[in-house]
Amino acid sequence: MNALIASELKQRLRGKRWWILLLIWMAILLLVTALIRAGAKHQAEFEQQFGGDFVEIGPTMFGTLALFVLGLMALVVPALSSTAINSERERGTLALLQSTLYRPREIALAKFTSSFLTALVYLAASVPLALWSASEGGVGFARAVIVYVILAGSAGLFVALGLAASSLIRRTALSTLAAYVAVFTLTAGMPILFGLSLLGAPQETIERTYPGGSFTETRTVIGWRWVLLAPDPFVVLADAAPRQRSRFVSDPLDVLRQGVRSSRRESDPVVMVEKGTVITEPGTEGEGVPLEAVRDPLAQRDEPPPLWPTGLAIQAGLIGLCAYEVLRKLKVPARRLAPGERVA
Amino acid sequence: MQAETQNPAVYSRGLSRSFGPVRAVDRLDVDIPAREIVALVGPNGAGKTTLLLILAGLLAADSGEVRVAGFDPMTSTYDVHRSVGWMPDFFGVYESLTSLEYLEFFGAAYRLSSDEAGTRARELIALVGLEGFSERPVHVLSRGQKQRLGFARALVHRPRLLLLDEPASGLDPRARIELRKLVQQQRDEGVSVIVSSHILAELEEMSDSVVFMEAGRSVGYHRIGELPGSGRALRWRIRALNAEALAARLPAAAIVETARDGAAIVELESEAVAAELVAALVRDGVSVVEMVPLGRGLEAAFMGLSEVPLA
Repeated sequence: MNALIASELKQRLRGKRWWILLLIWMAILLLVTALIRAGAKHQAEFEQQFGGDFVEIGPTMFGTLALFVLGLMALVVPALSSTAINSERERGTLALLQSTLYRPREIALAKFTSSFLTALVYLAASVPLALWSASEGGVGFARAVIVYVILAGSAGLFVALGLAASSLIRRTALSTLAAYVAVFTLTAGMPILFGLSLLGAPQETIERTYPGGSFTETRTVIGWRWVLLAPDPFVVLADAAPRQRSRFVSDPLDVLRQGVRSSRRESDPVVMVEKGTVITEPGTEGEGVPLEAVRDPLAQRDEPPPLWPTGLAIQAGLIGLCAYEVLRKLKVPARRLAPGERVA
Repeated sequence: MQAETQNPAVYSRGLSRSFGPVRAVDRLDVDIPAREIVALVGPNGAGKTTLLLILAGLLAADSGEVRVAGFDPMTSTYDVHRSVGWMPDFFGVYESLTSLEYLEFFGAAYRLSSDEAGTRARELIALVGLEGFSERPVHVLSRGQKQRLGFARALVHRPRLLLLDEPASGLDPRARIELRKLVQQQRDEGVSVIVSSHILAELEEMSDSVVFMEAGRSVGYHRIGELPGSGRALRWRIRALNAEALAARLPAAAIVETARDGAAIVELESEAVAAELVAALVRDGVSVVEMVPLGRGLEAAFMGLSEVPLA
């Protein structure tokens, strides 16, 4: 088992290309982080002239880095595992492994682990930049740890999707394509699907009253449709990262989190500010929330419930499904073979 | 041979496996004795590779009964994998590993400790004569050397049954002789061997018995010395400087056909008859320049097999 993982890793690391790709990866991350820092610093200094305090350099750098690393991993990680099984079939080495005392789950786990560890090396390469961000202040330890745990989990999901593709599809070019389509569907396709699903969502009309008048408002009932957003790794990342402060600052993770959580709001936060009072909900007219709180939309009321537990559960289900398929295809003696497929 | 009380190497009854509409193995009944080298002979598509895959516990049979070293591959897959060393006709190697690492890797796959795997790997490298290559990457090996490495790999866990699928294909004569010696050495150490090939002469020299396969079925089991072909008339090719003189003096009944270069293909009852014929031709002044046997034993039996209409 350990020998299998060691041999897999040895083969990966002996390749020169792998190291070159890692260097390019680090260079891109360094460049992006430096640019974000310069931009945030410039903006913060500009704001300070007018007494503003919205832009904070540390959270801006860290949040952008985290989202950028996730995006780059979606581009790199599927390829780490998307030919792991079918390329061995093609080379005629898989059947030899299957004829030994290795059980299918050991082979599958070794394939997963070696790809996953490789992905973690890429992730680890971003840690120095995360520390640089944190040194600017405003990034909590718990937040940083949770963000990295979620990033590692996303890498695991991408590896599992690639591995399933490599076991189900005979040709390596097609399985790589399929792995990218699966990852793209999850990261970009599902939010698009969510947007489209709102077109068919029911509308409701609410009458709102305030001291001295009333008006009606039509809004979309999102209902269950937020579930479509939940498994998106970007959504899970932003949603699960704990908030650092009650004040709303220029943290892209917080901005995204606020956006996705609004999909679970029972009613839209219509905020009307008038002479120091605010009307937030039907039936609460006259009392309102103090004006100071309204300046910070996050503080104005309780946040809607999170999406990430559902998202993680769906992701875990996907990983389970991938594992089931991979094991089914690795099982010997093999019962059914796809047309043209050979055992050896 | 002493009375065998142990299990036969392979036993099957009504064993079948189809790929779509093709019945690769079709109600196959075989009894393959242990501690012998058994040749599995048949034309391409006869089902030899499929049968070996089933015996190696890699492919499930559709129906029928099969025991490999006493175990059912469907239910006791692990025991079958432990008992069987399988060498496929085509196999890959991990390009970045050295020969020694390759064998150690498979030692670990058979649950040997890393010390045991290292010792066993060096032992096998010596056995197959690859000492000079143990630290070199596998991809520098020639085809014959790769075959020997593959053979060593199949032996890593000291299997009781070796399944060799076309091990001699693509090997030069010298490499084939070396392979034959290795296989016979294993048999002498008590390992059962099933070896498939259509290189018939090669198998005849190394095997104790032969199972003929045709269209997924076994069409005969014979001891090598008792092959139906060995009592048969053999064909020879005879060529002389003057083709007409040759044709005139050959017994007309013996001529099967005449080749384009004037050589005659004749069927003769025995080698003694052939020797007499050539002496007679020379005595009569025919300048014989070539006389070669066209098929002997196993090959003749195989050709005979193909002529027999199948029930």
